[in-house]
Amino acid sequence: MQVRRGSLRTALVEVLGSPGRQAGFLLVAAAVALLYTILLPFASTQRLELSNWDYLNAGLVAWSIALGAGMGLVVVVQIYAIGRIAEARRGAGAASGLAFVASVLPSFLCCTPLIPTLLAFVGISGVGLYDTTGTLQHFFAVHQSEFLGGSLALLATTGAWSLHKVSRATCLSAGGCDAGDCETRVGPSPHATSAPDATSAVTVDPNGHGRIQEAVEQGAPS
Amino acid sequence: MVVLALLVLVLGLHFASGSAGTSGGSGKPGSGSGTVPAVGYPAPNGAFTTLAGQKETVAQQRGKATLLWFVSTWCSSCQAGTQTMARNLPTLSSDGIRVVEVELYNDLGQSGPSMGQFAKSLAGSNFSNPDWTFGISSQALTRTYDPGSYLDIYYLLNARGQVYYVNSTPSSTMPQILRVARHLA
Repeated sequence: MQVRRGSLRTALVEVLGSPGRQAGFLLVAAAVALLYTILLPFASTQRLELSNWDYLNAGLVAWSIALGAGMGLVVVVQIYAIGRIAEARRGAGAASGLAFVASVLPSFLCCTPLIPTLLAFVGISGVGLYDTTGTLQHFFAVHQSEFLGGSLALLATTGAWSLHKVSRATCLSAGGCDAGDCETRVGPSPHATSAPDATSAVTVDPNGHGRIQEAVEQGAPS
Repeated sequence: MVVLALLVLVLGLHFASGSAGTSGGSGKPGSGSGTVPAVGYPAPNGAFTTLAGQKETVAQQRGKATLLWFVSTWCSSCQAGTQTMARNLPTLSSDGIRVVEVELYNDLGQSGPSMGQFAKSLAGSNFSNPDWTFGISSQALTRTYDPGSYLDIYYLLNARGQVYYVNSTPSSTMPQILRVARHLA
């Protein structure tokens, strides 16, 4: 399959075209959604623990699924793009290992899912900012939905931008494309094409590092 | 970049807040601007006003084990905790525990529903239970028991008026409350 300056939809079809990437998308989406089902009820418990599931409702489940799907998409697009870049670099005989990472890192930074994830984490757990002011806690308490919406919008934008970059690379499929068709070619082989500034780094969801509010129990009775 | 800077700032506050919560060597919650009453010591006195308009003090609660609980009406965990408390009030009552739930002074300076609306909508039929008193904290009482501006903090006082147990968010710590209540019974 050869795609030339495809639309986002075409790029999406290409990216999710393999069973492996479909499975990856579902796996990442499910894992991230599961983490969000623990994170999102934080405001009701002030803790990050499994018992937060007691406070899940339909709205929070919907947010979890949406954010999980967004993250799954971004991660899969990035993995796809990294694979394409690596393939192109190999074909061009370019540097490998650390040199390769260093060469592609700057172009990844624009689109990591890290910022949307941090935004969601901060928005949800900001209500636990003790020793600050009531104003700050109140701000986070009443603007949780806006933070989640912002996080989801950023994920969607990141995914769309990444797909845009992938589609601009012109030659998406493993078969490559004819010389001259490719927007960017890095190697002598007509099959070696790349998107040197495509997409972003794969990042693991940092929610597991969320600060769990310290229990303040003192001297539990014996 | 601006978004990233703001995120870093808030995360920094998070970690600063977390470290403050465990400082002081005695597990004091939020010791940034003072320390909370310590377990094993007499509960400091202070006044609150019940929803019926009656002035009461912490000292007047002596003679019966009391769960003194400070909430903000706009706080989600306080709302969830009040519903949890409503479900568990019969068990606490049978263990001889009375619950006094008071709004932090001026709702920590933020706007929220009145304590009356909060209590009626969340406590349900237990709103008029004699073992559950709702009220509004005086400024001095809030300063004494919640110097770190926790939204949702409680103290279990024994019948002698001593602080027996301190924790936060009954929505997630009700099992501990019930366990300690059995010890107090």
